[in-house]
Amino acid sequence: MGEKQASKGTVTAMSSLYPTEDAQKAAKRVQDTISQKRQELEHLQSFISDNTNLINLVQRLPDHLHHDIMVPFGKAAFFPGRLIHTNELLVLLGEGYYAGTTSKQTVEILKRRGKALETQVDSLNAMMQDLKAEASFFSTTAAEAAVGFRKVLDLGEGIVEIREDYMEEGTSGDRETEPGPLKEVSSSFSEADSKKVASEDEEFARIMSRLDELEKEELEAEGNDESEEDEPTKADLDSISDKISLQKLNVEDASSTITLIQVMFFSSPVYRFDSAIYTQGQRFNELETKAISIAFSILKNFICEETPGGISHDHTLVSNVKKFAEKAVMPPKVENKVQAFSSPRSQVPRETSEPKFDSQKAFTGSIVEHADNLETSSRKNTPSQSSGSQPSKPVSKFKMQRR
Amino acid sequence: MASSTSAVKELQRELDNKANDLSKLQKDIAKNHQVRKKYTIQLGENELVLKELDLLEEDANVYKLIGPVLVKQDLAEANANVHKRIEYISAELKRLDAALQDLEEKQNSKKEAVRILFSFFASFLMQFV
Repeated sequence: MGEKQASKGTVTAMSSLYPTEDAQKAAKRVQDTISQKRQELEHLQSFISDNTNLINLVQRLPDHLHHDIMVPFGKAAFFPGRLIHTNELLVLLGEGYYAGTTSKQTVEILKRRGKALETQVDSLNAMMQDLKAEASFFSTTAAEAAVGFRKVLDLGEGIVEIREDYMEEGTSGDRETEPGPLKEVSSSFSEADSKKVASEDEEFARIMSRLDELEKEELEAEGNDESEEDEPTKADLDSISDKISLQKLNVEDASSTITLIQVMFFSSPVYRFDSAIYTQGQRFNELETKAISIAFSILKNFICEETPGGISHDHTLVSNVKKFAEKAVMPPKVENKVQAFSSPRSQVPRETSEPKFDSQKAFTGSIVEHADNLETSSRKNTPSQSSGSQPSKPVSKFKMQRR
Repeated sequence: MASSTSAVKELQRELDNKANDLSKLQKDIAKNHQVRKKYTIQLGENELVLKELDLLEEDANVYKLIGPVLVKQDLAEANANVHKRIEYISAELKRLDAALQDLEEKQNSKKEAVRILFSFFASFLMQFV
């Protein structure tokens, strides 16, 4: 019972959630405030008794014309004196204001003050009652936690907190309906990969639309000198906007693929993009964030291509990142993803885009890699693609140049 | 490697800065609370005085203690003074309230920023661990 159920949620013992010491500490703090309030209350009570005494005195003063008293002189000395004008008093009203009053008026003032003091006492009492309730709650929580802890240890029962993560229904549904064609088309993908794809698909689809825009820009820039490549790329645009992505990885150079993917993971824009996501107030899990990171770094590489200074920057990045990637221990998830990208190179890139290909696989495809021998390979490949497959579903192509 | 460590350092510095700002804001808020407490007490006292002054007979002698001497004051004058004092304190309290609200808003936004930065920092580190 106290064990964790990784898939559905967690069951934690109450004692681990509210440690006994913490509960006790809280109880102690409340007790401290209670004792503080009690002191205040005692203070007020002494004021009240002083006030009643004073009222009695003031009431008795005008009974006689004069009183023989000992007048205090300094701290230690008294001298005998006589109190006259027994019906004339000077009352401090507060803030340095004094009023000359008769003893009768003074008594009235004092009575009003007594009332004010009593209301203060009342409010203080109410506060103390609240605090006491709080203190008893804390102490019982502490006791329960302690007992629960022992019970969990001994018998496997006691008070526990059960927490289940919210699972999107769509995710599980997608998994179940994960169609067979994926395996047919790209048998190199492991089951785990396809599952990941399903969960990442939604995010990726969003990114795709942005990629779309950027590709358009690239197209315009490219269109002038590379007219041969124009047609397939344009068609490619359609395929992306349809959110149907194609499995076309023309990989000539295996190592270049891996390097590029490493660039994706470790280039700085990854985290900058991450931060942008977080500031939007959305929370992505690690996996999704990574998926977006990859997509974004692809984007970034595009931008680098376009800007003249970007190429050299890219180059240094590659070398930088290579060094890092060798040292860094990649988490298994990341490793998998690298596989997901790089594995199709063993496949024949001529897989035609079948209509049964659905948007589920958006994440898996849409990268066309042109390595060092870019010019020749692209010319060799593109015509065969466009002719071999349906023209409406052509090659998706992210061109990544490596120098 | 170098770029990643520098990025981490930069993040950490930013996080530190944000945390410092937050603690400063919290100090300001605490100060504000103290001042407000003082003024509230004074307001209560002044209101008490005003009540008593209102209850006094019109020809009563009123004195104000200024330093070591009692200065005789007109009842009307004393009344006006107390009124003025109450007005001033009320205005001051209002101002403090506004300042407090402002500070709290700032604090909340700072808290959020720190939270985001921290969670991002953690996730960023996780990429490399």
